[in-house]
Amino acid sequence: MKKEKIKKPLNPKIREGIYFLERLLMVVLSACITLVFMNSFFKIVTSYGTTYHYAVLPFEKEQSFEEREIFHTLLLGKMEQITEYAAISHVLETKGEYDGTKVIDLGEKIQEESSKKLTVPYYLDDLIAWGNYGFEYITYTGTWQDLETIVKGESEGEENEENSTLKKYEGSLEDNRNKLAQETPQEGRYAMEVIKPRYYSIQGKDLLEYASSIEEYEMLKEVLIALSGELCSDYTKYIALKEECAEGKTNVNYCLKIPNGQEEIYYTNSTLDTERKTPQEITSEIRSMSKTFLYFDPDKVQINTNTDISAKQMRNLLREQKEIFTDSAKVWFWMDDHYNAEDSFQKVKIQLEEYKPYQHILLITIIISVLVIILCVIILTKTEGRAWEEDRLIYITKKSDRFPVETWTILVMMAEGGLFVFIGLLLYSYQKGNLSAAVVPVLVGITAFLGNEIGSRWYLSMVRRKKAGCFFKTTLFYLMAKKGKEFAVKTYENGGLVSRTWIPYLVFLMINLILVLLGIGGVVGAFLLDMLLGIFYYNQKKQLSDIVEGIQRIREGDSKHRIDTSKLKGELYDLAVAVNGIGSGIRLAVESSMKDEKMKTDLITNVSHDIKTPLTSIITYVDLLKRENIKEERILGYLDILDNKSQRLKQLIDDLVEASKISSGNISLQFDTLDFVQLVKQALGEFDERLKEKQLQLVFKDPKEAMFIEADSSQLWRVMENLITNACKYSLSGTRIYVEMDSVEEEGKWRNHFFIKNISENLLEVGAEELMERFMRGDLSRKTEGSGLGLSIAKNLIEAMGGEFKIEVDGDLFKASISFESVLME
Amino acid sequence: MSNILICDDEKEIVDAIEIYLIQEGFQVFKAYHGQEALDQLKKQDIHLLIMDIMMPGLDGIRTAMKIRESSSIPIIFLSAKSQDADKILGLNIGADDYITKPFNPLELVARVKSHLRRYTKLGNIAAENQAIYRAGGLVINDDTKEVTVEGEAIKLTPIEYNILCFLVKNQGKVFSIEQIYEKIWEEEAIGADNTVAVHIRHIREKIEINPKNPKYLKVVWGIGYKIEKQ
Repeated sequence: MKKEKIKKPLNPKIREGIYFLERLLMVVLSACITLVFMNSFFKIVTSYGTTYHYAVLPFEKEQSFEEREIFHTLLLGKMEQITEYAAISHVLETKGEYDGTKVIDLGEKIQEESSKKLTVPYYLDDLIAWGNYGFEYITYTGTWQDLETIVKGESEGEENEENSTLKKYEGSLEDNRNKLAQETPQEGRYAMEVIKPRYYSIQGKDLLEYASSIEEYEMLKEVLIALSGELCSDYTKYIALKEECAEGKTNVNYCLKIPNGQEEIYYTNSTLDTERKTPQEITSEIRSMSKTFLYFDPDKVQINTNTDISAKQMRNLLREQKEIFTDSAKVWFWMDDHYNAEDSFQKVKIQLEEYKPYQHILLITIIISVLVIILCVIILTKTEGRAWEEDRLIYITKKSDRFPVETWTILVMMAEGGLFVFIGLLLYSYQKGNLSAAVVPVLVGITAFLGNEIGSRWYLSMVRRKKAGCFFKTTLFYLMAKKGKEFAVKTYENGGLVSRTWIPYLVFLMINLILVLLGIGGVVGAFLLDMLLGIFYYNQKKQLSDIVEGIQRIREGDSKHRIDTSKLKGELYDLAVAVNGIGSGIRLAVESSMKDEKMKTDLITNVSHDIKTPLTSIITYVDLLKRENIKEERILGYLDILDNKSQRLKQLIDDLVEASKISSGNISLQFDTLDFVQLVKQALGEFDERLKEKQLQLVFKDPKEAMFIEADSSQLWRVMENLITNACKYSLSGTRIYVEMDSVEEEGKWRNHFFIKNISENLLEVGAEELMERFMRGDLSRKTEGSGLGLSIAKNLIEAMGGEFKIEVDGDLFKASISFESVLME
Repeated sequence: MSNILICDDEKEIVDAIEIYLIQEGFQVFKAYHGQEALDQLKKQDIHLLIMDIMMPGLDGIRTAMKIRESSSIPIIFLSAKSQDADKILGLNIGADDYITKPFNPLELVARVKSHLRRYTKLGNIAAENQAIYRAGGLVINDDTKEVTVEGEAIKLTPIEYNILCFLVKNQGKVFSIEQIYEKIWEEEAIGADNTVAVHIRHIREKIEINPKNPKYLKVVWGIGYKIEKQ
């Protein structure tokens, strides 16, 4: 059995079910994708204000929190914070506690090597407070010497006031500078800004008292301003970091071993006992406590860790705080495995763990949905448009399928684009936190449903059009082209001759003109256009000449000829169809007339056979009677009459058959080139005796040279025989018969003429035309022999051979002429 | 004496032909349709058959075809059908002659005699050592200046004899009036008029059974005259 897949239309209920399933899954799919999207991208804001983004992508490899990049990023950030905290602590603390009474020597901070060693001790608290409060200045102007006196403390300035050049500006630094700027600069006068003492050193001295020169003062002043500012900001950081790095505040534990002179200081936020332990012991202890740890020894550039952090990263990190992290420092970091502290690590870990289990379910749902949707779409596509009509599969379209393809496509694209933008806005709003996580998937699902409705209706319509084979016909392009063509054709057909010829011509001229004005490209375009028009014009002319040729062929008698109308258009097509119509009309008329003539000839021929049989008996028995030695004159006379009349009857019948044959064209002619003169001489020779019997004198002027013509020699002989016989029969006895021949040039062609003239015995009562009609003889009484068909037969025969036959009657003069076109012989 | 079978559905015509043939001394048998003719041919020793074409039952054409399967006797068709096509058909299927109705009884008799002579004397030609020229049944003895057609002596004038002899010597070739004139009269053919044509007509009347439908001396209209090569 041949297995043939029968295409059947789907049950409408099943179809609706599939369609519903597809819609439902599309909603589910879009919601799932939205959920995946929403939960795949996270943001974490750390305590130190940095924002990190990270993604949990579908299909990524299985990895623990500690393996993730976000973990390392966070860890590096935290380590940076801790090392900074340690560095600050080192400055601000004494024995693990903040020490405000710590003495800071400004002299140590002076970088200039050339200057002598100064000791300018201040309390830490004072410096931080000063830095926090800010500095106030007094500006002095005066000569260098005068200014030096201020520094050297020899300023019992009040007394030397009259010869002192010093000028004092008190106020804010800005005001003082503005005032100075307004004053005209003087040679040898300098300005010096002196800090108003707010705090004094531990010895209760002002800064001025430590400086021995202006340069020294300027140096100390710079150090003071810089250091107090730095310490002030360090203090602020210290307060914050102390809180953040404390035990229980962060999940990162640290232990930093910092050398401080002879002793070593340990900074840690754990309860780890570090007393009298080697680094190896500390490392192993930490490893037993935590599964995520890091040990770094800057001296050996050695890192021991199960994190992805590299030695290079550690060195870069510690270089920031190189004052304390000297080569002999040691660094340990390890994680609280339980992530008990509420910090960024804990937040990220929770985010990940909350979403992680759902991710698989969502992904599986997405994959299944996509597959089922594809299946549904395939089934819907395959079965769309099918319908059953009288046990036959047909493809149907809906009314909406006539809506132009392009318009619909653009509208659908706009609608779908709008929906996508809407979804984008939803997600954006969600990111901004303006929408709750629960609302977003629902809204996206509804949007997807709408999108699916719009898209699937469009898609299925396209499928129906394609199947029904009307896709192209429903495009806007086609419809417009069709309308345009209809309009053009209508305009063209309804227009008069002027609009049909001049308007296209003027349009053509204008296009040419515009193109030429466009420049060289336009000229080339115009040239190509002209070429195209030339080809078009040539084709038109060619088609027209085909039609003309067809007309000529029909005119020449080939009424079966048909002009090929398959390639013709417009007026030429109409013309060709009309010509073909005329041709077939002619053919029908000719055929019917030929048929009529043939029938007539057949009838005459058959009747003549039937008449001939009894006539044969009559003639034969008359002849037998004549042989019966009859002596009685009277009976012999009767027999002669019988003989004559029966012979005449025979002649009549033969002529009748001949005449009908010739006039119906049922005669076959065999053309030869022959000498007309020779033929006339031969014919005259045949009638020599008969002419003499009637005492007729023949006057024949021998042209002495041959006259060649194309004719059927035996038929031409019959005509000659007929004409000479007539001359013998009807000429007045004793008269002359004139036979003449000559060659005459007519319209550049030579014609050979034959004339025979005789004087009629009886009165010619009819004209030349009537003589050539059938059954017509000169004498209406018809008392002599002959059928009266002779001249008619002669005329028809000569004309059938391409010659000319004429009869003239002038009183009793009867004149017959035959002419043929001359043929040149080599 | 020769036996002749006449076959025609018109009894009167058969009877009339019988009268003519008996007068000439032939033994005549009669038949009125094709089958009867075939039967007669089996029963009698027939030397020549005159037969109509249009007959009830077996027509003349089919009868002739049957006869030609076994016999080569002369068959003369006698028919009212006078078209060229009919004549050609009749002659092609094996008839020896074709005479149209109404016919000239004398011509019919002459043709019957001619065919019988040929049929019975075929191959009986004596060895010739004289200046004898032949064209079918036409024989010219240039030594004795005698002309015979089918054995019958013909009387010709000297010019007629010269023309005929010239044409027979060059049988198959066509000669114009001028050529014949120059050959016979041995002078330029100026003003020859229709002298030659008249002589030719006279010769035809003497040697042909039907001068209007000549067998030997043919007119090639517009070209000249010739003796058909046989």
